[in-house]
Amino acid sequence: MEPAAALTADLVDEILLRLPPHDPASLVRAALVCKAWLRLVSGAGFRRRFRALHRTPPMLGFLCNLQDDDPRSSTNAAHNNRFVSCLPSSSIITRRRFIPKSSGSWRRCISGWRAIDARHGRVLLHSLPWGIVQKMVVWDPITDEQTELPELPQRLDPYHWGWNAAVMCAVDDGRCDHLDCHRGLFRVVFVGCCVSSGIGMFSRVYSSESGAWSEQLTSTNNHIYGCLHVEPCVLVRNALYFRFKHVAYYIILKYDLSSRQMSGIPMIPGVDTEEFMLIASEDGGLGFTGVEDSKLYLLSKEDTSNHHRWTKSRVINLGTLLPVDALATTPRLVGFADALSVLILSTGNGFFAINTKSSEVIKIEDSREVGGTVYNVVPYISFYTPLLG
Amino acid sequence: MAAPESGDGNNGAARMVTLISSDNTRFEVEAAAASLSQTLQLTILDGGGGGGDGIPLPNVDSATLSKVLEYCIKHAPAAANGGAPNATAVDRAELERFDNEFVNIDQSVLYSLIMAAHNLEIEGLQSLVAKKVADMIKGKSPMEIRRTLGFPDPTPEEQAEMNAHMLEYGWAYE
Repeated sequence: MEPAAALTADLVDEILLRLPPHDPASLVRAALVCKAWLRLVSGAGFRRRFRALHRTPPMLGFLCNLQDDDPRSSTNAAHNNRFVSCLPSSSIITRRRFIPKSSGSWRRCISGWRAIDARHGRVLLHSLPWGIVQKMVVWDPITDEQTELPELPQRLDPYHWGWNAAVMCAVDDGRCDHLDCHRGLFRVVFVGCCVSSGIGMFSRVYSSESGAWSEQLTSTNNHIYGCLHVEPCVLVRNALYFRFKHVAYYIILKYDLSSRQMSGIPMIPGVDTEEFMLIASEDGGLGFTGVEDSKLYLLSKEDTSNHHRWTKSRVINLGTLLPVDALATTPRLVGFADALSVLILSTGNGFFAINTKSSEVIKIEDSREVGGTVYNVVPYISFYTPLLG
Repeated sequence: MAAPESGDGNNGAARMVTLISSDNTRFEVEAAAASLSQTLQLTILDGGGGGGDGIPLPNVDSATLSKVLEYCIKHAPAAANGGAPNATAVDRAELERFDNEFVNIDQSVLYSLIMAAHNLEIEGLQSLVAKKVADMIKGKSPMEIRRTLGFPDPTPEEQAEMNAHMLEYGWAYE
């Protein structure tokens, strides 16, 4: 039999749909086999079927924020922030990786920008250096589309304001599966706190539909104030959770996406909370994690609105999961992908991604050096099907 | 004229149906196994395939059909349990082992199988074989994929067009 003749369009579709989503280069190369395959892979129907079959979008990579772009420093701009691609480590393809649309524009996009948050296929970036220009942009790395947000009504003086922000699809979970909404409407939730002005904690929401920031909402609870940091927050059950420092200890700020109400959740007293990271717990609620003595401690908050009780849910022994040289110094928690329950650790032997549910570990390969100390990383999770022809 | 005796029984013995390949070989199998095929299921529900009649399958040769039925017989009990929610881990591991062995076959047989699975609408088999071919092309360059699948080399025009796209997607080739 002539194999080429045997493979009808339907069969090719069946085959190409089963290429692994975490290896987008394979799909690009398959698309370039012939014109018929190219048309197939680039079509909207294929894109839809690919997402429907695989359901869970992969982590294509993460944006690396380097240490020297401290929010309080207006002179040190990180011009080397970059996109690190994730790869299947077990395969022989050690250098194939996804790079956002045109390589020229992604470099322009990331150097001189700080990645704040990413969700549902979009990345929220803030211009560097801090304090001189106040520009925020929502970027789609796949289409390279950028939306510049209008300036906030109040100027963000980096010496007196603490703030943080999050980007997401405009439609709540449950009414959107977020598999292919990156071209749709989005919103940006901004939370800020100005201790000296007496306003306390406040929030605004940018809607891409109206193209404007909402009115300012302030917290009715006077006790919720403190210093917020620009770092990725966690989205759990239709609420965003941000860390903030109240006098000398950390508190968690809960922002309810439906009611737009803010409330505070205390951390466990006596726990050294400097190095902890907010995560989604195994049961899908709020959790946090920290590293001590090569062990990853996972705690989850009991799901009661009145009591704030934390219980230890799991201990992951990194000693049995990571190579010895990765543990020569204590690994640092640098990022968490809430959509996948994946923690990213920076170690003496590069980055590792650990699934907090399955304990599966992936070594993230990258042929280039990061070029500085990593402050944090913002995971980018999306399906990718090439648009060619 | 379906055979009434063997066809309608819920009384003990499993109902059997006969399938006839393109080269006129007859295969007698349990209706439950043949019903993994959405296409055959309809015919069987209508009472077809029993007795001496048999269901002709003009697009499937005997070698392919025998392979298809091997798959169906193995998977029928799990399918009868509604995707086997009660299956033990051992059962699942056994099926997985069977599947891995099953697709470890010559390429030409794979193509015949994927076509048969497609025509007969056997979802699990279709998925299994498609995944196997996807694994074969994963990690290969477009030219290697063409050669793996036995495609003729591209015309110079086609190659030029593909080269232009390759430049745009250089990262996929590093």
